[in-house]
Amino acid sequence: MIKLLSDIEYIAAFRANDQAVITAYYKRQREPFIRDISKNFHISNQEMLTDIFQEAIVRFWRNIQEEKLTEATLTGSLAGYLYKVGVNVVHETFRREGKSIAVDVENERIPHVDPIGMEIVRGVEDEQNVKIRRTVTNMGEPCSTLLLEFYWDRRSWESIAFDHNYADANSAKTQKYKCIQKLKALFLKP
Amino acid sequence: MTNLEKTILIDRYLAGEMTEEEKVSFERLLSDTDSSYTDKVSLKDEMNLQKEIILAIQERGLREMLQREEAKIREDEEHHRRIRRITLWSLSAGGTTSAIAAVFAFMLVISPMAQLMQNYSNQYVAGVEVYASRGDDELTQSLNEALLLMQSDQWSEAEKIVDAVYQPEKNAEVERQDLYDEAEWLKTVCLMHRGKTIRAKRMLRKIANSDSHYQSRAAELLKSL
Repeated sequence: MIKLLSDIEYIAAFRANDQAVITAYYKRQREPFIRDISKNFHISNQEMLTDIFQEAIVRFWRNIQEEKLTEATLTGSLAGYLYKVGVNVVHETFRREGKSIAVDVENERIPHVDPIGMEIVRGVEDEQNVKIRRTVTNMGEPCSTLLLEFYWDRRSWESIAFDHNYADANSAKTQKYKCIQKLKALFLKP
Repeated sequence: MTNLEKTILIDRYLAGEMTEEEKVSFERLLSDTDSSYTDKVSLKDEMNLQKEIILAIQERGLREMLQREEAKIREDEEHHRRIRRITLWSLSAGGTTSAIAAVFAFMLVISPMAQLMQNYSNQYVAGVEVYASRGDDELTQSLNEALLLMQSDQWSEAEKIVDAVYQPEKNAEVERQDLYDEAEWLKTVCLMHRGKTIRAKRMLRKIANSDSHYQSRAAELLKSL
């Protein structure tokens, strides 16, 4: 069982890609986040609300990875920061769909978010990064499994080599380098 | 340095696998704006790209994990909804069944029994004599009063008076067992008249199993019911 962590501990866990803590935080924030967004933006579509929440969590995670949100820059609550990221996702979603935003100004919870966080959550996405993400999402085997198991699941090379029938850990590792090299080659323009 | 060698070097640096010496040397290369690379792509740019690729891989892992988690949450919610639906259905089906059973029981058993009991109580009070001959003490007077009220069809009032005399918990203290037996019997008759079939039947069984003056009458009545 995961014990309740402080905001600072959550930031550290997100930075370390601690899957158990991230999952626990997702479950913990899901209901209040969806309830507030639904109420303040008059969104009743559950599918849409879940998409907004998932996107907010991913951006929140990315801000931590890119050190735009750190223990030092967080001045309000972490849940408030996540909500603000969510508000920006809603704005983007509505803009993309050409909808006007109906906000319940009276009741909207405006948490305190530090200027750095505000700047980040409003930032326009780098076109190159969007391309990289798309390419990584669509990459085929064996690179897809190999890279995910190493960089996300943090499995050892020995166990990856065993499961995927590589001669040894070094062979699996060399295959990983080749995969990274292949991906890099798509974006490096001499 | 080949492209693969550069990838390995960057990967080791990002993973923190370099020795202090290797790290210093690598960082010197990173800050080298002179670009000694023939491909004209700085090591720093290449490292940033590699960093972004790794981040994109992790982001994909995160998205897939969140989607799996969401699917689990929805499955749980659906499971709970199903259990709620089944529970409500069972309760309503159970409630309906109980109601139907109660109606049948009432129609087939309780209603005719209540009718028989009421007939008996009416016949009984019409034919019985007051207890005046048994004494003129307070208890006898109360029972006589109750009996008269029964005969004038004031059963609730009669029952209240009988209750004051018939107190099973004080049975041991009753000096005159005959008056206690009379009160017990009149209480039973009141219950029969008011359609309290279950309680009346319980009283009849109690009398039938006692050495009350009304023991045989109660047993007989039970048989006819």
